[in-house]
Amino acid sequence: MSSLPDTDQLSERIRAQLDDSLQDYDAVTLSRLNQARQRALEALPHRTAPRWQWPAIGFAAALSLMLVLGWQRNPEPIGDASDSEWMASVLSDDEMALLASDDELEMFQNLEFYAWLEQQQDWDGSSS
Amino acid sequence: MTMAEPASADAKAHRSALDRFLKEVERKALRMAELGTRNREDAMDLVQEAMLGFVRHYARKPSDQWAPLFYRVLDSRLQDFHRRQTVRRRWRVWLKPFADDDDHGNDPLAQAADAETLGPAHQAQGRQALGELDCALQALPPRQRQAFLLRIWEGFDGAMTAGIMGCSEGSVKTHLSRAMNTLRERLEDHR
Repeated sequence: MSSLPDTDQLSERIRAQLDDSLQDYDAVTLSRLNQARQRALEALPHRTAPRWQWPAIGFAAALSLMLVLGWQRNPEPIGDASDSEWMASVLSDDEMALLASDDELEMFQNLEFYAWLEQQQDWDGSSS
Repeated sequence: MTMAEPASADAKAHRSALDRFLKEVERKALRMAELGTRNREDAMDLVQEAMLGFVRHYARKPSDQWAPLFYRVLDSRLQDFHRRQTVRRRWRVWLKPFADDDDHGNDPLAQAADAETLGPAHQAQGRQALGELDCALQALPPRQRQAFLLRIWEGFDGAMTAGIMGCSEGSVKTHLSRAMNTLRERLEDHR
């Protein structure tokens, strides 16, 4: 029986095998990956607000929140509008999308990781 | 010159950088997903979802953060997949006594073997086809496999792997150590 490889040798061997296996994908699979990539790129957000607009957006979000909280304390319908119509009139399109989409909520759940990632980068930058 | 031109050029360059990045990671992502799902169709779906999620939420982040963010999204999709599988398995076990009462004797779908419950002979064939390494990696518990692939194959450090997997660095060390021990035992037997 041959001797056991140490961790580094084993890791190296597995890494090499996994790298090699990436060349085994057939043309159909590669084409599907390409299509998946193109579909994802189609979902690229077309614009983001410039930094100078952020305070205004923050203010608008805070105002929306205050309106929503005010509505919760006094939940009588305004005029003849239904709750959903009223909500749509109070919240911005982005906020409505956030409420409607699981994806957006997931992104907010990942904010902690993103903050950590930025901290790491700041630390790397200051230490180098 | 109008302001729209540089903005459009920037957008084009950004899209092209994203395209390059996704092209770089797509095969590894598919391989990871295949090892996690044991099924290419499911794996392809997960990679597509991960690409979409990444582009929608993190495409505007600095490009040096793309890799950990992409793998974070993929890992999250894989965890969801495993949770769904676990629930499905529980229901299958729970419903089995009721299903046995029904007359499914002639139903070919009811008779079809599940990919995860294939007989020993079929499993042995599959092992040969997939290769020893695939079998060894697929046999690992999901978190051990992810820790191994992210640390050893993708080359993230412990802290970054912990961030991607949403656990502590200590947990990553434990997962990795157990994965290495299992892989050493299994792969050494086949040398």
